[in-house]
Amino acid sequence: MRLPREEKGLWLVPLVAVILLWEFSAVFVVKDPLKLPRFSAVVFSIYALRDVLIADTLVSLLHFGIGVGLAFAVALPLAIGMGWSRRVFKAVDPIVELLRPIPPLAWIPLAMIWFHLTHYAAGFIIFIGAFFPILIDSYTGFRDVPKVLVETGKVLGCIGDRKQIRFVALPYALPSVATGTRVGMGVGWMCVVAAEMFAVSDYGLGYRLFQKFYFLHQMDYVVAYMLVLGLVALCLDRLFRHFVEERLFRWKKGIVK
Amino acid sequence: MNHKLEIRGVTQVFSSEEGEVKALEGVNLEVRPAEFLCIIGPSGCGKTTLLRMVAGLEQPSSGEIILDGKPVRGPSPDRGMVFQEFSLFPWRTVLRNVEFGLEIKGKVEGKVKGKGGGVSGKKERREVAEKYIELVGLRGFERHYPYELSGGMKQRVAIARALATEPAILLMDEPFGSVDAQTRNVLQEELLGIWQRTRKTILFVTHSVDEAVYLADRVAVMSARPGCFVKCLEVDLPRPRKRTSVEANEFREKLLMWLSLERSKAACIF
Repeated sequence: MRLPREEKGLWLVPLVAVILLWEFSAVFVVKDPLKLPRFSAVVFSIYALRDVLIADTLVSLLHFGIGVGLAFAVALPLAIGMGWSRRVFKAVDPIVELLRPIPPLAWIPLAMIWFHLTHYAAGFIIFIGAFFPILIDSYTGFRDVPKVLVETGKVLGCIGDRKQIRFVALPYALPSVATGTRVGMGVGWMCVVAAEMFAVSDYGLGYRLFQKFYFLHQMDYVVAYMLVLGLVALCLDRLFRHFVEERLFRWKKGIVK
Repeated sequence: MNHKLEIRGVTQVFSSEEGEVKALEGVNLEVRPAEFLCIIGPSGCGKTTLLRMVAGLEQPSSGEIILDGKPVRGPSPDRGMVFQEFSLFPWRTVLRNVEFGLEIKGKVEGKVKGKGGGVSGKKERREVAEKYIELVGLRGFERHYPYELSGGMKQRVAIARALATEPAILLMDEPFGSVDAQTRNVLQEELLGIWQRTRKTILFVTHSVDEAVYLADRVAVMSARPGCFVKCLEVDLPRPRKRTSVEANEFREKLLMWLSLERSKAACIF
């Protein structure tokens, strides 16, 4: 997406304003670094923590990768089944709708029992968070393939479900799959802190934030890690949008804006 | 005379919750090779259903449809179809839309032979597709996506796509129904050009008397529910036709009379 020239730096203004407001209230209003550490102190903390921060980010990305990767791998075939066949949908939908509202955090005890204190336990919690958004958006995409496109496929030689899915339904649904994946990635990342809270490994953004910094009430470090959590997610989202969605949505430009 | 397409005693019954609805009853029709045949009738008379059965998208409750001596069992690329709705694959460019049928064909043949040959090669595919894009007058638009095209252009691509697999017959279901009147005239003219160059057999469904009189060699008039043919008229006007000629007008009047006759329930003659 290209922004007009005068809109290019627009985001900077409110950002600077919020930072100034933060710094100002920390210094002159709250006056308690425990309740609100100063922005400048937080930035300095990020710098001071740079070594451990990189290790923590990498381990968190590992957990995230396990969770989202698995969620995608399981959700996509299920979504194809549910979207393409009414019977599969009718059979599976009640189970999905029963499991979907259970918060990922409620799965933590089971994750601990099943996977003990391993990366997989954290990955599992993230999996639960990412799975349902990917599934729901994707099967909607497969369900909404226009009949005339399927029939056009048939008349041009796509005989059998496999070919129709491969050549008609999948390309049609791909933008929905991408949207679901993006939402799922967001929810999955929100689960990272909770998933790592229980010391599944000696590294991880969530582990450090909760078990180390909060434990010692180092609030400037806590807020520094909060900012990093936000920044990493922002980068992941931008990368995904740049490499996946921009490409997939090219043909949709005229349909949705 | 040997027929390209034969429809023999085709009956179609739809069952719904309110009971059974007879859409077509005992329909017979013969289409000659390289003929341009229009089916005309009021909406809901089952003309689209009949065309869909020829395409293999629906199965008749009874009766038979025979193309080149072989009964129709299901959809196949030997019957090209152009739908009334815009049916381009929106994620594919014009070129890739036209290539679609060849791509699938290549996949099937590749599996049989173990290795791709003929139209399954990427280069041959491109050449064939470009030939048909040229035929419908869309050279220069190969890389455009459907959303960048006007309604008329979309239907031209659909025609090129249907022709690219070199079907034995071209089925058209009110293909110009959703474009404006001027574009419609241009498209009709171009379709005649394409028909004369490719010598394809065309089965064309319409509810427009003007369209039928301008395009067809023969017009088959259908009655409303349950649908059947009440009259088949030879359009003995010389080509190129003039839309406003006296002869065309006289023919239009004759056709309108048959269409109004069917409303008072004339007997199905064949």
